[in-house]
Amino acid sequence: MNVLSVRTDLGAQTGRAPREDRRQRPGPRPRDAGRIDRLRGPLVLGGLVAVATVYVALVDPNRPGHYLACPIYLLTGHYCAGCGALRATHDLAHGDLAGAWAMNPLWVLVVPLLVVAWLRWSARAWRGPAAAIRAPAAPRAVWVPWVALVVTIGFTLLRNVPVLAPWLAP
Amino acid sequence: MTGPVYPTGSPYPPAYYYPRNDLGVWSLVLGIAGLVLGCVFFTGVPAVVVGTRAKRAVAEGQANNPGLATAGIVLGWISIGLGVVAVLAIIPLIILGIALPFAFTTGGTGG
Repeated sequence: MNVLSVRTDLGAQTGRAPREDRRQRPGPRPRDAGRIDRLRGPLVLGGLVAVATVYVALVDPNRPGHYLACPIYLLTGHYCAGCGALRATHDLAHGDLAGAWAMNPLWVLVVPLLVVAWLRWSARAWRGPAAAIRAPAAPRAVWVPWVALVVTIGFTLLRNVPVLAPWLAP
Repeated sequence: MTGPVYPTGSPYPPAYYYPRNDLGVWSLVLGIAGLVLGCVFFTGVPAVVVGTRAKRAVAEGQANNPGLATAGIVLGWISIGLGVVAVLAIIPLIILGIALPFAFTTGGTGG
């Protein structure tokens, strides 16, 4: 979203024109022809995730032979951060929160965050760049990716500790 | 005084001047995660994609961390390269795994 390009006088200069200029027409409530364009990304991604979830819900990953075995587990015998995510997704799709938590607690915590992020993305796409200029979004926090990295690596290490395996391993 | 004058008087620009600095950090984090955790394609491809978006944000004046973006793109490509090498290395093993039982059964040892 190039909604903040109006501030380029403060930042680095660029020859690139803002890509959504043509949609920022003045006038009282112009017909928003770009809405379908903007919603394509969220809808395509949401559709793909929905199809994949239905597949995982119908084809049980607890039974062998339906999915590729994880090469990390095959080669090292260790659980990576994503181990059990398919089984947890299967359990979540069947409403079994406890089962999902037993398979991969981190994934159970991350799924709602991903859903919220997708909803916010869809809402921004629905409202469009004009609304974003009227009420600019807050700058994205830089610490979030670092925390995600530390949490993921820490989870990977801890779930391979035998003492903690009953709580963290799939 | 030369150079840009920021409203706070701080020598550093406030965060809202560069609202998309998160993209470069995400790219670098994905690149690191790909190498540390070994999930090559799942993080390598997003690291390159997000890193490219971070470069675009820098060009549009919404970010000022092109170094992080470059590091993320490079690490992402290294992850992808390692993934390709791993796949190429696994294919002969799979063929071997399929072929070996037949080799024994046709060897005439009688099991």
